Amino acid sequence: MKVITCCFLFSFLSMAAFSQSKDLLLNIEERIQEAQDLSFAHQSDKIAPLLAEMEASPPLEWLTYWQAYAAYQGAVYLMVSKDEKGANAYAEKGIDYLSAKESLNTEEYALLGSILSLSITFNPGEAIGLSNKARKNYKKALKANPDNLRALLGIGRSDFYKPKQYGGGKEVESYLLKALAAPDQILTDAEAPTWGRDDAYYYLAAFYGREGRIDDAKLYCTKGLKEFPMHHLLSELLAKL
Amino acid sequence: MRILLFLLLSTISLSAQNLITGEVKDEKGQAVPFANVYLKTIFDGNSTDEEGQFSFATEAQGAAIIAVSCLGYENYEQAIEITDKLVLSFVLKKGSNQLSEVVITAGAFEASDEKKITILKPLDIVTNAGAAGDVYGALQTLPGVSQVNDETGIFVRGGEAYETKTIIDGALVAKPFFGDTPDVPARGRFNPFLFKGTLFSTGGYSAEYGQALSSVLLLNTYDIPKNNEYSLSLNGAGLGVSSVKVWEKKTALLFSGNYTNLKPLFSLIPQNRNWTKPPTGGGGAMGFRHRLDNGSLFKSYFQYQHGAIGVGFPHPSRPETGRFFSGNNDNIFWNNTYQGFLDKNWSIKALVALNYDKDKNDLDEDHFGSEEASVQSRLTVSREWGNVRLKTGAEWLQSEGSYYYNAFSSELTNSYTALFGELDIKFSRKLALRMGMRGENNSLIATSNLAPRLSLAYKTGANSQVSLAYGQFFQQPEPDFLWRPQGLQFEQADHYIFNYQWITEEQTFRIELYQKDYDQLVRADGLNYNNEGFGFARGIDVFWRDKLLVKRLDYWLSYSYLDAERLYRDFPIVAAPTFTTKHTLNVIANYRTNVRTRLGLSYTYASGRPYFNPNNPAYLADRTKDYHNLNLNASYLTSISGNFTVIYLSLRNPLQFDQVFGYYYSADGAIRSPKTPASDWSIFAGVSISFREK
Repeated sequence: MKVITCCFLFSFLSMAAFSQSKDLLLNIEERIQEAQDLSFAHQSDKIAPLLAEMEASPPLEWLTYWQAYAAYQGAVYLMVSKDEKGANAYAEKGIDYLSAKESLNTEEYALLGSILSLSITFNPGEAIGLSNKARKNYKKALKANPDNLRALLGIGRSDFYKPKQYGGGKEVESYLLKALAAPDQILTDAEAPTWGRDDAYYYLAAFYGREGRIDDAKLYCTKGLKEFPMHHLLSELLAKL
Repeated sequence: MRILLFLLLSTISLSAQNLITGEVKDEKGQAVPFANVYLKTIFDGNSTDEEGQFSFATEAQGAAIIAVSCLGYENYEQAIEITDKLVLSFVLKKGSNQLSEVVITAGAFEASDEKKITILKPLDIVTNAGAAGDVYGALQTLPGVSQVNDETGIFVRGGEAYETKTIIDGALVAKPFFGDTPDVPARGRFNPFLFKGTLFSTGGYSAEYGQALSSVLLLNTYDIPKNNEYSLSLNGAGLGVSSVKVWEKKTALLFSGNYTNLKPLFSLIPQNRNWTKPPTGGGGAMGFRHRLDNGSLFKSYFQYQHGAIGVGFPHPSRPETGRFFSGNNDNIFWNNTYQGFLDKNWSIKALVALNYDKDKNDLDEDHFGSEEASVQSRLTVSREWGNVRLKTGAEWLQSEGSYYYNAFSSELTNSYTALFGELDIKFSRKLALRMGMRGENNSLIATSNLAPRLSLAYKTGANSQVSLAYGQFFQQPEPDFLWRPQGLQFEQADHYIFNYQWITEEQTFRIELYQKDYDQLVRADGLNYNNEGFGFARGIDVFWRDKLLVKRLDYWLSYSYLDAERLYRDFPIVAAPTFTTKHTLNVIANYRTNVRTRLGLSYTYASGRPYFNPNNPAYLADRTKDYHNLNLNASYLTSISGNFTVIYLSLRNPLQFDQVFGYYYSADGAIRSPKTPASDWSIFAGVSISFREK
């Protein structure tokens, strides 16, 4: 009886622990976004505690992805806050999370591409090499799933920032339009990511604005703001057009 | 009750949404994916999918304007009446839908695969019927270049050949042509397939370059080839082999070798010269490319060439025997470049190049020649701040040369340094300014200069723009005048250029007006030299290219009007030099009969050139007869044992126009003999096979 009771208790506690771990990833995308919003609002890093919480968790299918994504958002926050060293450390952490995995799925490839692209800001001397690596990962993501919004966004955004003298600006439009035509979520798991559509609207509108196609820029600002009325970059861009 | 009210309101809300659907196709009926379709001013809309279908809902009602835009197509607008279910269909025409950014164009002809719209593509250089596979041959068909077919070099806008410099990947090429034989123009040393981009500036060029009074030819070599490849070419002039080995798309090794002997060809074609040694030569080249993990690129290119020639030509001073020339030339060009990033925001280009040239010539009993070596290094850094781009750098060139003419010899050593800076400012997509300054010091003539450059470009329409350019250009006098110190200064030219250009993917119209004022040109009074020479060149260059007139036909016309005079060298008075032609017209046409066959034609007309007639008291007042030339070529693409093969044939002057470039007079002026081409016509055929690893 003692054995049965012990087995029962062990099973119960294990299930409880697993269930708690699963809860960690419940609405994780919104929680990371919220942490980043709070970081900007309070000018202090609110992503680190969330990341620490995830690091304490036992392995879960989407845990690495969201750890890397949190690190990516942390890097963006610190970059905007002019803490380049800290931002670079976050970016490297994000790359380490994903590189440690034996095989990556389409979303993980896309996220790795995004972090590598962001790393160019902190390592301009390696711009072309990092850009090539990022592109390779985006392409792997698209090979696994051609409708991956975040991979399409990544290539379009990289091309948006690539100087014209190095052939930039030729792929922005097609990739971002494809991104906007893609579904938010391509994997059926509840924890799979959905982010990126707002940025696709923004970069497409900004590209059109830069190219002097003002009506096209206004179209995508307007459409973007209908879906994301709080997107302040889209609002600012529309006001400038 | 609340539920009923909710349902009612929902129905009203839904009924206010009108659905607009449809499709967008091009003129060939093909679907146009990713076109933006939207209501103007309302900005409700969507993009088309891969099948060209679109669909969007709007609350707008009544009359509206629907707009369709897509890259590569003309914008389309149509008035519509919005109904609850509207189905529309649009056909877009090919064209540009955007105001492309203004670019500085005054003075520059660019051939590039990397830019969407340029006047020429690299392939135009090598397939031009007048080019015969020579970069310089193709440039002869561009406006602003005079037809001087008895001397080596490119003569740009009333300038002499030495006023044009060739620069490969930033490195100056000291001797870009094979030898320099009297009355026989030499070809360029470099294989045109080496280059991915060509920028030929006929004036007003960038402060990054100097020491060319008239023009620079900027050639950029390919980076890393995509595939391993081996090729063999066999033609009427000789044979060539090449090999390219690529590792992991980031390291490449290139080898090539060639042997030339024109004796068999000359034995088939009647010659106007007595060839004691028809042009023979051989050489080899080796290239190394490596892209580092950080994206930086290192390129090294080494080329060695040997050439020999022996020729007799008629001369009234020696009516029985004529005159005999023989020459031997050895040349090395070695260039190492690095292109990468210096710091957070700065990019860097650095190079070290070596030029070596040894010339040994005999003309009857006279012996003359030279041995020259130079090392050049250049460092350029640049960065962008939004619409502002700064480029700055330094250049250093150390040269040594020994020259001899019979028993007389001289040695020249020069250390040349230059600093330059250039600022590009784009005030808007329509207006751009480039300001540059170049400072140079030359130890041989112990002189410095400061050369300002300025260009302004304004976009006048979606496809058109006007440009203005001004620049001051200096050049060290030729070695012939520096054998003893005489206090010579830099020769100088000021360029003023106005350019209008209208360009689409299919058609180009360009007109350029220019004025070039020369000063401090070297004058020779016996063996005494001074800088009291001066001159001017002014004219109009017109260029028209069209790919729309006839399907599969691509043709261009270039016309140049040139008015040039100068007082220099041993000229007794101001006169039009012998290398100028008042009117020059070129017609180039290429027609693809099918995917495999391509036919080409080039016709050139040039009005007569001035020549010296000792019997005419007016100096250089006589003119040769007008010059006409026709070239035809054909190429056929096929495969031999699965390997890509090109077979080509070209004919020069098949109609045998009588071509006279000037006259030689006997010492007493009583007898003259014309300077004519080495042959009245010629034919050239060959085959090139590429073996690609499968």
